[in-house]
Amino acid sequence: MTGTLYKAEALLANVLLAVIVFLVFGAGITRWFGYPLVWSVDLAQLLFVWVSFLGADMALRKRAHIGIDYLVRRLPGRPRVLLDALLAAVCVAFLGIMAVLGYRLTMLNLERLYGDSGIPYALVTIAVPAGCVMLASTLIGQAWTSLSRLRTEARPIFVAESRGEIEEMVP
Amino acid sequence: MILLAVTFFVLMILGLPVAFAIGIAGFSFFATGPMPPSIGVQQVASASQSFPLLAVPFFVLAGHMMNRTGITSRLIGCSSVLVSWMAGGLAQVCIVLSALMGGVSGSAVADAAMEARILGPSLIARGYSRGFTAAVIAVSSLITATIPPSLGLILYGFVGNVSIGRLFLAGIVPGLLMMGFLMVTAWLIARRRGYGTEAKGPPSFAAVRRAVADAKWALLFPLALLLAIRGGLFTPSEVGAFAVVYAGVVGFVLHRELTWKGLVEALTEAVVDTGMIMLIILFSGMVGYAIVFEQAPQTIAAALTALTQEPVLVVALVLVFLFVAGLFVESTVLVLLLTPIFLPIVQPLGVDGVHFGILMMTVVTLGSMTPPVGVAMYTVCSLLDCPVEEYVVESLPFVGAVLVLITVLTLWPGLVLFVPNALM
Repeated sequence: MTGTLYKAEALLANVLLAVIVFLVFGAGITRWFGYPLVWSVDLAQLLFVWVSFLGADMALRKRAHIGIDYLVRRLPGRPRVLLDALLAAVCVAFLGIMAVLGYRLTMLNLERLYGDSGIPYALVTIAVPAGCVMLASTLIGQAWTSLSRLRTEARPIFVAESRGEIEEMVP
Repeated sequence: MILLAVTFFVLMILGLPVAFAIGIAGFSFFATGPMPPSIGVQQVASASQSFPLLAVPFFVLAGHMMNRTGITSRLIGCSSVLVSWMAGGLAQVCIVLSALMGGVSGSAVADAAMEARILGPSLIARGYSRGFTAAVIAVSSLITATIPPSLGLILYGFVGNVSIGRLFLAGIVPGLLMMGFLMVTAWLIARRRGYGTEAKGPPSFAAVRRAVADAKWALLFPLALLLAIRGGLFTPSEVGAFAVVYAGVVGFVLHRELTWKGLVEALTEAVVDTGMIMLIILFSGMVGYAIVFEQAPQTIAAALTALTQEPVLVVALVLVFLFVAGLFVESTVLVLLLTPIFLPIVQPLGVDGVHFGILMMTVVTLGSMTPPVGVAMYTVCSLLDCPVEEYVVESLPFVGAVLVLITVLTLWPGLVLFVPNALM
């Protein structure tokens, strides 16, 4: 069940990114021939915020978000898991507040339209609470796994076990 | 502002991913300050609505596709023909490859990881020390981040409102100079230690022509990119979309090496990388608002200009600060948080935003190659199984060479600016 969900998430994000490429590519070509497509760029930016949050959630699941574990690496296993769990709780609280505020903000501004193309801007704003809910639920799941296995193994929440498989495209 | 800074540093040191540390710190400003928290949420949403920012996923995706289209392997062949006859031949190949990759990829860490995987083992097998191998690969990846397209310069242009096209053009000369500086350093060390050559003498003209012809689609790409940006015909984001389509055409049609499976893998990797970078950017939207609201640039500018009014000295002070900060904090974060503080300080003194951008990007990206916190360093060291202590000793001459170059570029802005001024 959850495996299917992850696959669907990845598939959706991949398709959206590919669509964004062609929207911007197409807009560039048509502008070159003198027919700018305003809606195409607006739609690309709308989809981009969704790709960003879907990607952020996928990165969180892979424990790929960059953090500094220089100091906490020196902590023994279990205290480190407990510290991670505490931080995760703070994080979930933050994401929860952002989700509630973001939802309210979206409901307040339902009429606002995107530039000239008539796409409702609410579709952008709603990505923030939706993304925060996704991130929070992933984080809760990871914290739960780590805490429930605490008796047998100490598995940090934010960092993957091995450092060997880092392959990010960070500048 | 103090609460924000303290929250950020405490959470980061405790090991919370930087994106969340920035988000919580930024939110603490809205939770305690005069502005309603819903403005904070608005800042997060609007941080994504910038057209230039779309260049980030595009160039990340293009970079992931390059490795699967056969472009990377052809560039390795090309640089090996060109420089492997020099002293420390394989190290020279790594450095030149970073420059050639720089024309198609914008990420230092991706370049360092690729070289550590593909070239690193052969260097060690040929008797180069582990530390030297890791140092050459990690530090030379800075060239990739300087030669356009460069993810760091896109982010700098986005936050600082500086022309990304001009920044790209300005990166060419510093990138090539850096290649020269690092090659000389590697040559000097190789001569002293007797790291050998891979061929008897310089390659024949025919051999060079064959290697270049084989890699022509990869070598043509940066030229096409610069031409498109230079003419003002296309924006950097559109050029990014072209880069993806170009990589697809080269991979599917011209080299016939890209598979459907490879494309899906590249897309997924690009989505994950984009999510990682964008979560930091989105949440830093709140911090950016706080910085402007609290007039942080003005406060720091007042303190700085009380010390000195000389533009070169102010820039030097800022760069020293950025270098120290870069030792501890990831480069994306520094660009996003500190550009809006430092750019308004140096610009009124007559420093060109493009010149400052190249200096700032080089200094903060260098932080990825230095301890205690350096993503490129850890990636290369773990892939090559090299102790960090050995890496640190062996990287000193290379980091030194880069610092000399930065000093030269600071004192002679013309070196950076003549290409963009002549072409745009």
